[in-house]
Amino acid sequence: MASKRIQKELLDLQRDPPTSCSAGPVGEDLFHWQATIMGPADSPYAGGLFFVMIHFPPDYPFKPPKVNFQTKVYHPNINSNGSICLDILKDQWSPALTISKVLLSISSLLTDPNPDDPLVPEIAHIYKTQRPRYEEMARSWTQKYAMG
Amino acid sequence: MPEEDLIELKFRLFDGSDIGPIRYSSSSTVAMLKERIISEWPRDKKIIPKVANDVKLISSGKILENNKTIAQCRSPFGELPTGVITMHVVVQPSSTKTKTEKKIEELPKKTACSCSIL
Repeated sequence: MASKRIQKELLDLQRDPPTSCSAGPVGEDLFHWQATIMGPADSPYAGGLFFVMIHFPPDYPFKPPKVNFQTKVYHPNINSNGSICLDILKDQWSPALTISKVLLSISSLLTDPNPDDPLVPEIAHIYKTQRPRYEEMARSWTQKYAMG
Repeated sequence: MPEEDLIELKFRLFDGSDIGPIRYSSSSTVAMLKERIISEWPRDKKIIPKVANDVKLISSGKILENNKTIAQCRSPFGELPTGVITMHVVVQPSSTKTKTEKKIEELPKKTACSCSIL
């Protein structure tokens, strides 16, 4: 069940992927994927390429996939381990969601952080109180870690 | 004589528009794809890569290496005999890369473009 569904998502992604992301299996294991998210043009992450690891649970799509950033990101909802604070990856997951939709949600999280539910309180604080400084930091991390 | 294995590829650009589909032999290398992309690049785009090194090709979440062939880049699960494979093209001008990193530090000021009305 899970592998059939994952295979279907893979074919859809190969045929017609979203403009801003690409994803597929790392090797022979269909349950272990990697993805790239292109930094949204209207955000301080523009121009960056962000790598993400995806692990599908055996009971996918009834349980959400585990998604982690491999590239360092300066963002209120993404911590230094690459963990992402996003409701659809936790209690708001629905089997109707797909990896493509998850990646698009992460992409819009890059454009619009959610500082009221932060994973990194310090960055959330800077985002709320000193927006230009947050943007400058996010831009400089993007240049340093996501443009190699 | 064995028939040549052809693969249909589309290249998705940053603004969602596509180059292709174009048919390639599966023994074409990524470097060859990049040359073709440069020559087919729509001239009306805001960003136009000049050399093949300015572009990165991404498929299945991976950056494709220049010396690999299309056959080597295909995912073992993506057995699509007739389907088109869409790859992403990312433009990152090579001047921002490691080779010239020192130079950039020495010259922090970028030369700005200016328009003059004649």
